[in-house]
Amino acid sequence: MTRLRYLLHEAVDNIKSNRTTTFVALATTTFTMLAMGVFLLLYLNVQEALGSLREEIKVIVYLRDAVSSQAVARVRAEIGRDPAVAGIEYVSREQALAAFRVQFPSEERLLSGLGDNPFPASLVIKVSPTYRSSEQVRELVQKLNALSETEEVLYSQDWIENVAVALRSLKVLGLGIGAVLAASMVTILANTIRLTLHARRDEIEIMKLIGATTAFIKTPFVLEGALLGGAGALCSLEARARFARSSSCGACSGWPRPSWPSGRPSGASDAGWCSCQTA
Amino acid sequence: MIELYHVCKAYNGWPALHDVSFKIDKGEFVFLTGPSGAGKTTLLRLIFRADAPDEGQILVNDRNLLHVRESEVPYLRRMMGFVFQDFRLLPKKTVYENVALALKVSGVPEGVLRVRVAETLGAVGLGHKLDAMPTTLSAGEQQRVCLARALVNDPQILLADEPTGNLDADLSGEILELMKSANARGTTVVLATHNRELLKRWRRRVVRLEQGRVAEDGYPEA
Repeated sequence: MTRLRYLLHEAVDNIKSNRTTTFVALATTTFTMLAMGVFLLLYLNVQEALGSLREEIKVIVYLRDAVSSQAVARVRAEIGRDPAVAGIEYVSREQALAAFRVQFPSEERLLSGLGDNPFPASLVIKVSPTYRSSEQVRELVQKLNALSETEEVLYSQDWIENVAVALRSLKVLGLGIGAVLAASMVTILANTIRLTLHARRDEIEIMKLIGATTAFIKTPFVLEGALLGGAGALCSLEARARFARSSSCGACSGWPRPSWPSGRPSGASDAGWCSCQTA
Repeated sequence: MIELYHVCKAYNGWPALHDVSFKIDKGEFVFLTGPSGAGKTTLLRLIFRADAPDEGQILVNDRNLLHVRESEVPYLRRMMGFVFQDFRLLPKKTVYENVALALKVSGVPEGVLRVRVAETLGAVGLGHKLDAMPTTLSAGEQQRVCLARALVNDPQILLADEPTGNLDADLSGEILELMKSANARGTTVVLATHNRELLKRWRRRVVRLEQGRVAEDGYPEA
């Protein structure tokens, strides 16, 4: 117990009496951890955002006008049996017209010119999470196209593929940058430790001479390292929290929201772009 | 207590010791002398196992140092005390803490430790400077702290490398007296020095090294 108290006391004493080295070590730990932390935060948020875009994958089946309500129920049941389908929402011709009126009130004139309701009824199909690769979605679309009640199937093939490619590249890029950052963090921290040890080599030499075991010499250094490392981590966490608070969203502040080059795909939304909005 | 058999040691190809053999009995007081670079420090380093000989064997307290593992070295050193020309005190610790450290490393309980440190510092005449920092002390006082640190755990062997190198004649005499009294209590003392005055003050066995070899071993004539 006396020994443990002594070793802990030594660690705290060393921190106090070597202020410059302590400060340099603390600053180095803080900055390297901050860099790593901010990178991880950005990486995870972008991945999360892309992942949530994928969750929005929907396929819209426009039905022929002549299809009866019984046929709709039958088709609905048939599609529902497919394991790739997570949910189906029926939008009748009237609902589609009403939705159009709400979204484009200024185009009322256009509708009156047409006379009859020009909108087809549709089934909005939500794709199950395990069937979201572009091949699986294409397969589902082929099946839907083969139904006699189907007029047209719409889905954003480009979008699905782009997201998949983006996710893959992000993973490779993230691993690359992460590896470089981790390597530099380890190198910098190892050098900091070496410098502090070098600054106290006389002390270590004396301890060895008077018969101190390696553990006795090492323990205060390890404790000191743990205290400094912990303090550095806390500082970097605090800095990251401040960075996040400085804007409504820390991870994506200053980042452009995703833009849709060919118009927003069905079901895709800005929600979930950053996990801070969904949290 | 200390036995050397045909010990050779070279640093970067330069021979520091060559075929050195002699024995030091328990309780003996031996002056190790010779010009600078004769191999005195190297010999002491081999005895406290800071280095290993290239050839030959060294026995300390009947243990062959060749067979002492790295992890056993601290325990070997706890039976020895060291005094150096440059003192080697920890500058950020008080006199008391510097001396107490020699007992702390071997896990001596706090109560015993306090008494022993105070006694030893009292014996070297520094009982009133327990809380002083080493840097505020004179050279003679610093060397006495160093001696107290070396003697506080009642070592079987005291190794001193030019302990009076930085001290004037009077202070050198004081340090020698303290070593003599440690020797009187049974500690084997090996004192490396090129200070001829010390040899004259106390006629004890002298091992003289020259260019890494034992040039002379015996008692000086009166």
